[in-house]
Amino acid sequence: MSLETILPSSMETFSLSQPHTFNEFAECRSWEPGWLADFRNDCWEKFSSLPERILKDERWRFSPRARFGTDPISALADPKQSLTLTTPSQIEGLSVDLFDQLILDQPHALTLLTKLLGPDLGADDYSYLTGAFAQTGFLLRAKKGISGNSPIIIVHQEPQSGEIAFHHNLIELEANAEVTLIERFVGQPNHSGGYISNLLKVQLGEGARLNRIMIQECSKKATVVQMENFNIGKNAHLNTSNLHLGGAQSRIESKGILKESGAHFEYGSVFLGDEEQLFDQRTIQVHQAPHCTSNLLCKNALRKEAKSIFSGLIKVDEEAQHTDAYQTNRNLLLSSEAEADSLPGLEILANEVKCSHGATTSRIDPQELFYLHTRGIPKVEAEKLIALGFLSETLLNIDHEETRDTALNALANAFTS
Amino acid sequence: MISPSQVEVDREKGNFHYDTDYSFDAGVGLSEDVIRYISEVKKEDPWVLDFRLKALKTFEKKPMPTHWATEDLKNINFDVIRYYLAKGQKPSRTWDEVPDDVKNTFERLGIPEQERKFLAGVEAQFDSEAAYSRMKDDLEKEGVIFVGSTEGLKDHPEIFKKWFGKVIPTSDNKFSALNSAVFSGGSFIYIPPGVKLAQPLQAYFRINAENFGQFERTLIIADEGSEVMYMEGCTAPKFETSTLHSAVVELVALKGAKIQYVTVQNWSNNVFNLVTKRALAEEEAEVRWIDCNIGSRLTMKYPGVILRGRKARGEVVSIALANDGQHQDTGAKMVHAADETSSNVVSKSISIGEGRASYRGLVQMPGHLKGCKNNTECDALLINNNSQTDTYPAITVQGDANSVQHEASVSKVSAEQIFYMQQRGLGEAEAMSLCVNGFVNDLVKEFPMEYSVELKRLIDLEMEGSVG
Repeated sequence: MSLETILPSSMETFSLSQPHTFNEFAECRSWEPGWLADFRNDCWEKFSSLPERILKDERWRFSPRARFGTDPISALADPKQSLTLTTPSQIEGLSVDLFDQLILDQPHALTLLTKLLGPDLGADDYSYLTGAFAQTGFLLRAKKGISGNSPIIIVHQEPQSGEIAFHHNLIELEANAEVTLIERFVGQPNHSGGYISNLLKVQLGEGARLNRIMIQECSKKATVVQMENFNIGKNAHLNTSNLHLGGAQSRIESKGILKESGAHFEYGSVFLGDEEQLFDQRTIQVHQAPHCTSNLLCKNALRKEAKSIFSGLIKVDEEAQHTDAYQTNRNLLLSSEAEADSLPGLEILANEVKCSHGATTSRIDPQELFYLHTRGIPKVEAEKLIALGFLSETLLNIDHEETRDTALNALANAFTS
Repeated sequence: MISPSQVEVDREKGNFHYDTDYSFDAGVGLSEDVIRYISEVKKEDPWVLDFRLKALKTFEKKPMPTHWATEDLKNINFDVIRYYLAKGQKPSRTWDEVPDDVKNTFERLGIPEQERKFLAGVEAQFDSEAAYSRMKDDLEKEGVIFVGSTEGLKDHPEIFKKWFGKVIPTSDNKFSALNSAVFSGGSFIYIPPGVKLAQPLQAYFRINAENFGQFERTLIIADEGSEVMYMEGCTAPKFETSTLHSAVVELVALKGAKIQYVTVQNWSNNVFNLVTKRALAEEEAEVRWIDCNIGSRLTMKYPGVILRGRKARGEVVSIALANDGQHQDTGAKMVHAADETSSNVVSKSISIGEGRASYRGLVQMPGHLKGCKNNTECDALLINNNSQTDTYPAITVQGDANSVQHEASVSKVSAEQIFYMQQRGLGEAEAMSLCVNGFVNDLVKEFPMEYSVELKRLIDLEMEGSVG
């Protein structure tokens, strides 16, 4: 495979918002099937017809949106380097492929990717741009009843400074399939200031189980836009645990749709913020069917001038009786300049429900510090221990032991650095 | 429950019309001329006219807040509204025109016949003059000023001008700008230092002179160490044909003062009730908003407290009941602006039939402060399949010396509870009513006694026919 997949370097006037950039890009990819070209075109049209940014967009409340501007982006990243995967031992019916490979080998496999929607929680620009420009992404598919014995590992590499990697991904598990997926986002210390725009669409069939762990360790100058949409079918079970450490600014949009009865959605997220990191997280739990459960726990610990925004919504449709839905946001402020914004929301239309949300923001209890102090633990160390204990609760849910340790170690390391 | 006694209503007595005197009518629609006219009728000082005209410009400039609020706001037609009706004037109506459900509620609440007509808008005057003037004498002895907005600005500018429009600036939102342009009615109150009023001040007694205003303007200043409780509205439903009510209420609690502001809102179901209420609490002052919303088509009301002095305390206690065709969009704002300030919000809402209850909250704590605390609890009860409830709090905390907790839950009355009570011989509706009253009971207790009794009856009434 030696097709020229990167844009010609002659494009000196690269700008994501200019039509000629897209036109030249489309020309380079004229070998793609027509329907994919149409999809790209459609996304581009939608992107270019986005209204001027309204100052008061509720979906961006509290967020310094300018930090997510696309103007500094000067090139597309090399798709061959920005996404790599380790294929587990061959199991029939379980496949992990790269998007650009599939375009050549079995293009029809991509149609579902273009049909499913993104989370649509505010980052329309990134979402459409990903649709238009994505040259890579992973497609994880498991046939009925297939269960993977070892986790599938996917690595997203933060690109060079000023470059953006668009990844358009799909996970499709048929009935009763079971998969563990580890997604790692890595950066190199000297590669600073890259952009990753990652759009993930997930569809779980009846009784399917997806166990996903995401560990994001990009550089402290990266811009990370993570958009994920989980469609959860009958009695299916989705568990996603996310650890966010890197990124100068990250925008996380997660949507869990409980489509049929018995579906379960479990979402855990941890962010340790330092320096001037911005963590802008928007989640929504959509209950469309009766007898579904969802549980969300987002914990942020903020040092120095870090800022976190949590905006979550539980939406229960009229048909979704016997819903059990929870949403919790806990913020720990470790410095006088840290800031935590919290927008927990409920929209309930059914009446036979148990729904609650809780949001707390506080510092470390001075008594706890004092206790540790009396045991001879210095203040800095004690703070670290307490904060670590506070954050690791979410990660302890990770089913896969090895990954759990990796995540906990990454968190502990982030504290010492 | 007290069985309703059949009160005979003398229909003839209420069956009359007012002569329309156009010299006291500003006509329909909003323009600079209308503003000038209102100001002229009220014989206001030039600075008040300027204030109104500026507000009109702000109102015209501001967009409708539909980017976060309900689209229903777009149904307000500002061009067909009468912005000012002079003293004693109201659109005429006969007792027969008053809807049956409103009459029925009067009967169930046991409201005196005379009062019913006043509340229904059939009669403009309700004779409580005696009660008011006696109260006035007592108050005057203490140095308390309790007057309408026009007199307040005209007779006591040295007291009221300083704070008027300061807690809620004209440009705060579109409806505060509207109110600032066309306000009339409301209460201006000043409590001298150290005066602690044993009796609550009731707008109800004073207000008959100029009727419940569409665009009330209230300003209460509690000087150092004073205490006051103010009661606005009443539990009886008020039948109105004017469909837009937009009040502005400003409270100022100076050092160590305490203000409690009690509202029971029961407008009829065609009214847009868009109210801006905010208080300023200085050092060690305490402000409590006790709020109950039962009526109206759409209520948008988020009482707030700006905690500006050390150890100031703010509280919002709120009950909302949304029935068919109603949207109760209520909440609270707590802005912490000094060390060791604390705030508490307890909100309970009940959605019946196709009603929708929303809670919107705002809590702000900047990083330079220490020892600030906030607690927010919102509980919602859903009675029917079609009812809806939403919660949209926004919490901003900076720095490592403050703490905030927020919790909300949504539930319904459990079948087991109803079943248990039915076993003990209660009817289903009675059992439901008992559960609902139990749900709001701890908040109802915060209201003055006579209000809480009527509130319970009202809840019973609203619950009727919602079960089964």
